[in-house]
Amino acid sequence: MISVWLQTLKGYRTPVLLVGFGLYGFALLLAYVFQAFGGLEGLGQLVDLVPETMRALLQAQGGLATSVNGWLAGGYRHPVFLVAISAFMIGTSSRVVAGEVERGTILLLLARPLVRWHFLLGKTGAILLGLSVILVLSWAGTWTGVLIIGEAEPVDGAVLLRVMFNALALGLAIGGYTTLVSSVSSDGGQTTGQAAGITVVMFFIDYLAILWSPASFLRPLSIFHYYSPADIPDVGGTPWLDLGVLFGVAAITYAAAFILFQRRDISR
Amino acid sequence: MTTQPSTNDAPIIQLQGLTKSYGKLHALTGVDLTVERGALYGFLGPNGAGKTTSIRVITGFIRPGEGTARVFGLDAWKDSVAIKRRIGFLPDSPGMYGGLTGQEFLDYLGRLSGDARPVLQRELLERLELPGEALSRKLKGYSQGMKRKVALVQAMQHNPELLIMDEPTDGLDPLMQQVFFALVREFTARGGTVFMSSHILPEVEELCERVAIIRGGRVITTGKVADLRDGRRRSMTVVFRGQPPEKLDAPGVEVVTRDGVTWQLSVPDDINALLRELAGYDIEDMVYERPHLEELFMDYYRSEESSGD
Repeated sequence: MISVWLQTLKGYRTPVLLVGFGLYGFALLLAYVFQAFGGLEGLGQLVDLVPETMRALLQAQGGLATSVNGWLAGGYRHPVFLVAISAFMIGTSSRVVAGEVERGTILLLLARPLVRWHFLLGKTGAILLGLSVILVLSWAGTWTGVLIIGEAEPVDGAVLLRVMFNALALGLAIGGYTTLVSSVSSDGGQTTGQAAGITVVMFFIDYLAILWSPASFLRPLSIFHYYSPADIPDVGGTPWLDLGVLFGVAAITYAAAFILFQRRDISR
Repeated sequence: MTTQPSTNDAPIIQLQGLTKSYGKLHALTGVDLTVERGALYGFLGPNGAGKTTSIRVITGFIRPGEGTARVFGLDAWKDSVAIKRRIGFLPDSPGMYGGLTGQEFLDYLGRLSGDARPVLQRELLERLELPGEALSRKLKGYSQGMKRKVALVQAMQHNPELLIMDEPTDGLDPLMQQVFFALVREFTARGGTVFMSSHILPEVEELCERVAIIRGGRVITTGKVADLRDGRRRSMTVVFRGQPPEKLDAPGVEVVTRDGVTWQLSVPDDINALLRELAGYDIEDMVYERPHLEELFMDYYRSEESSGD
């Protein structure tokens, strides 16, 4: 299992570093933008001009321009951040089983005395470490920006930590259902498409439910409903319910993936 | 080699009434097969006959429908990890990580087998002419033949007790095929057992002592190649000099084709009567061959088809 974990980690180091340093730069930019717009006052005027549809996209109706913490946390709901995290988790997790079956490598790997779920654990463990490295780099980008700019209003490190934890939970949930699809599939491309489709549909449901009240009952069906980093500074404390749902989705889907992979035929 | 006394007396591979279906497609419809220790066993059949599905069941990649599949006396599905400690497997179309070098890939698979530098790796690399320079290159730059050599090394490098191979010589040039044959013979001489599938009959005929022929997901015959040949009619070509006879009266002889002075005959085991009759004619040439596995194979297929009709 350790060998699988190390080899997978080695294979994913380039995407981890690319996405990680990309988000480091993005977080740094957001901190810089805060000062460039003239702090909270300038941002407040700007956010008032932003249409409701755009604010729904960021899921930050209130918190975005009320504090520097809200602004920095809101960056973790920005489409750039969401696309980067989703692309990393879907791209790597879809290859965990389906990609190996499609490539034919699984026939050589599982011809060794290796319990199937150990193999899957090694693979997913490497992806989760990669996600953690990406989030730490994003967090480092935010802090570098704060240090360089020297913002007068104090930045709450605990708030940013909660935001990171929320982002980790979201990444795990996306990784969980992608791994579940991958565990029963033999086509890596198809798995990527299906997982991306699920993600886009859930994002659209959340977006639609915010903008159009008759559809609001659909909101709990989307994982994005449970991911509101911009609201964390306003609400205060840890969003336990949101974290519980996202970690719950991750736990159930990963568990199902392990069980189904253990039982499936590898016939391609 | 690993020793497990409780399972040592059992046949190395034993399939009984094995079935496997995918929806309405019946890939295996009742496979019965026994491979004894030390055998060099060929598994014959055309594409789609059920060879690869049977091998995937034996290697624990596919769960059987009905029936049993046992390897070393252990259940092929439930005890697959214990079985895999003792086998080497060469799949029909093995994939490789293009970003790794040949050496990195072999070492990775070695580590998964519990041995970072497996005992036979160096010797196999030398015999199959995979030098260090080639192994330090990325696999994505390898030819099909080189990939096949790497696949062969990974199957044998940890000195397994049982070697299971699906179409092993695909992509190997004739010289390397001879090296492969020698490696397999040496492997069985050391006490190893080989179970290999192929649709290249001369290859199986050269290498294997025993064969099973599978058709439509069912084994239609098994036995020693020599036994399968016994009692079979043989083919004889006779070229007459001058006028050929009107007919041949020797018992059991059938004229298959007549092309002027060249006759193709189907003859029984005992050809003494035929030789006495032919002695009365002027013969320019005569070719008498033992039956090839290919003919036996085609005979079985034809007879199965006619019985199916």
